Amino acid sequence: MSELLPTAWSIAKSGWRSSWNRSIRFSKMKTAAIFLAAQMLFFVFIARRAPAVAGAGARESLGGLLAVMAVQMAWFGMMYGFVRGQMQLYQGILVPLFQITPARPLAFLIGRVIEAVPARAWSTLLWAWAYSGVIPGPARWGALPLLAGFGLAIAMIAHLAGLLLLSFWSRWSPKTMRNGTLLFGIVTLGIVTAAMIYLTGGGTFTELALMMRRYRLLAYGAVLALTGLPGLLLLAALLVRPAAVEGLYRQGVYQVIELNEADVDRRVRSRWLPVRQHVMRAVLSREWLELARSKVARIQLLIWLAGTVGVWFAGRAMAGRPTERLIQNVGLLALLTWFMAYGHWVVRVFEKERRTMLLYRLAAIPAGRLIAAKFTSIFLPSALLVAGTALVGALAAGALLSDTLRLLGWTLGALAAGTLGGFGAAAATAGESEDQELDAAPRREGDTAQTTGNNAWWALARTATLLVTAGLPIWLGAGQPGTPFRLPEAPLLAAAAALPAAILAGGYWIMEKGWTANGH
Amino acid sequence: MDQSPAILLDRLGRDYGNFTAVDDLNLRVQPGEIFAFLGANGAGKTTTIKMMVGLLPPTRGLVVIGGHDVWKEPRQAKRAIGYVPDTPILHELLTAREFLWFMADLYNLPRPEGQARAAELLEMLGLKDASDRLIRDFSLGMKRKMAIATALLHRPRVLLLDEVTNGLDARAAREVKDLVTRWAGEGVAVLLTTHILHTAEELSHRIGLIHKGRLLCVGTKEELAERAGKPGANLEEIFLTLTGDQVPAEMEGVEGRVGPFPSVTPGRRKRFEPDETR
Repeated sequence: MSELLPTAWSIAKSGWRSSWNRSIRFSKMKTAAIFLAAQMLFFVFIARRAPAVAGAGARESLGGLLAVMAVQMAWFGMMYGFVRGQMQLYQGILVPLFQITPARPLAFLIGRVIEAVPARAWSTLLWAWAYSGVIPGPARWGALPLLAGFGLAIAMIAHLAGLLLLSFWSRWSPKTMRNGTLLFGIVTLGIVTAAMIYLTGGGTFTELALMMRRYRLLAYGAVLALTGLPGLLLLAALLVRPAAVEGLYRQGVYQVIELNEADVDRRVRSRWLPVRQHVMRAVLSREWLELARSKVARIQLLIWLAGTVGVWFAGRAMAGRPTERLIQNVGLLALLTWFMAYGHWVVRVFEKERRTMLLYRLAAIPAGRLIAAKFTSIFLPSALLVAGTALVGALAAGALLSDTLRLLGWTLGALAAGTLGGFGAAAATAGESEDQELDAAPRREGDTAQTTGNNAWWALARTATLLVTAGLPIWLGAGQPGTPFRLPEAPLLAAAAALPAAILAGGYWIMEKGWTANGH
Repeated sequence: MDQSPAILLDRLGRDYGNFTAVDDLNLRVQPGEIFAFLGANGAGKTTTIKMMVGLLPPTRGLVVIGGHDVWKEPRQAKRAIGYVPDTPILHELLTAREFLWFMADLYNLPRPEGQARAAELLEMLGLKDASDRLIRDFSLGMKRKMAIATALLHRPRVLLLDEVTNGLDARAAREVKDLVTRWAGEGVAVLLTTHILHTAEELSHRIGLIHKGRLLCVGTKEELAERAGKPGANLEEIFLTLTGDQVPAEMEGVEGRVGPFPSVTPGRRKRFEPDETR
């Protein structure tokens, strides 16, 4: 025990230090400060609605508030341990360091929980502040630290229980554990689809919120019982037989590593496409071979399939409705399903290349040709997937051929616009990730952290560009929902087409300029 | 004379599906000995070392370091190991000093000792001026030096050096080689892999050749030359002969055997004499 907590503390400190170095100490943009400010704004918004969130039962007493806080923080802590746990326990530099040093597995697990405390404490404090608003007068200021402290303690225990459960799962079935996030992807899509079906069936947001509140305790209770109880049992076992429980993590790490080594890629025969243009041939052959060999792409196909099932139900709810409603629901969901499963194809198109981008530059490939080849390699399979989903929705709705063609036209048009816009943003920021790979020589202090900090913003910018440029055409096709009056369609349509084209042209110009400036 | 080995590998093996990366490997390295573990690319050197340090579980066999089974008593065994991997394992978003402090904590060194040791190693390896810079901004050579500092932090009794001079300039490589000799003189057992055969020839007391996952032979350079049927040949000739497809007839049946120990190594290399008092 004497070395357990100091080691756990040290592991937590290393995480805090690296965050501090990355986002404050060596960052010119001070990204952490911006992130904290954004979070505060979010919680000011939440706090204004606290009484509604806390629910009627909590209005009566502090006990009710504590119960709401306990359930919510247990849920958040458990989910944090569960969803982020894969990254915390099985990925990153700390894992090999844990393997080669005498650090105890439990120190590693506790260290990860402690590391998450500042972020957890901050959000718990904000929730406590929001909920304490239910209590009138100065008594609020007494309730605030009580709620915050209690919530944080519950969240930490739940986080550790989540990590223990994950360790147990990875020890006995690493394969299903690794695909756990797939389950969350499918559940999320299911919830979004259900909400959309409810709303398009005539329900209002207020009714939806009320319904969610009605079933909240039931849903939380069921999930907590499913995931929380085994986690708590493992926590109890830790007190009785610590070595056995710790062993689960050590063995689980090797199970996951073995699994990763065993099935990185599928065996697919080499096929080089018979395309005349050499850059197109090289890029298409390589990208599609990579896709065929990727196991991850196959898992993402399951998310797409789950989304398509959701679209079927959304399509059924749209039977007999105007085409605009079909586009608004089926078209939008088809795009959303593609984005959830394969949106990263566009958002990370150049970023994922990293060092291999140098091969194109060394071969003096013009930026325009590379963009065209990459666009083709991504747009063709994406169009097939989106068209497939939209057709399923149209079939379920029993849409006429003309309506189906209109749906396909708007949806694929939106996909093309989104892909072009996303490509423009990706091309404009391609140099950012590439620069990190260019030289191994020492750089000025702060350079790398600056680049790392920027990367998060660039990724956000690329995602936002894709969503905006794809969203605009689908909004137009759906008859401009949410606007009190209908705006003239022609100029908006021109804008929807011109915006991605302009972003792409800008991105191309920046990329070409960057390559020329570097002597290629 | 008969002291317990610092490193003991017994019938060690590792499979990847149907492919056997390391097969039936037996080896003993004594305290104070420098053992060069040589082989072509993909021969199984790094896989063997990863099994020795706890990064990769063996399919079969035993790894005992400092008297402890790495896979049954991992914490005790790992206290004895210092490992410099071929690709440095470093927390790149920490500064050099912060990373060494962190590693000192993982090895459970008392804080003042850890901090003093970190400062000493940064000074010794010429990284003092870079102490407060992010490791990510380091050159390849500087990262290699950081990996060496990390391996030495807890004063291990066994050093496993995988391509330790890769990426180092001539001066730094010389310094590291001198350090290896010094550590061995202090009783540390050193197992090193390198593709620079001159380094192996210059430093090691014994050499082991691994080929396609099997340990072909172990011995001094002269013993290996004899086995290759090329007395007086340099290590490059010996290596090419023994790891070629044609294995000399006299090599049949010696695969995986541990050579005689200890041995006299003539020439400029010093004689290895295990100190029984250690």
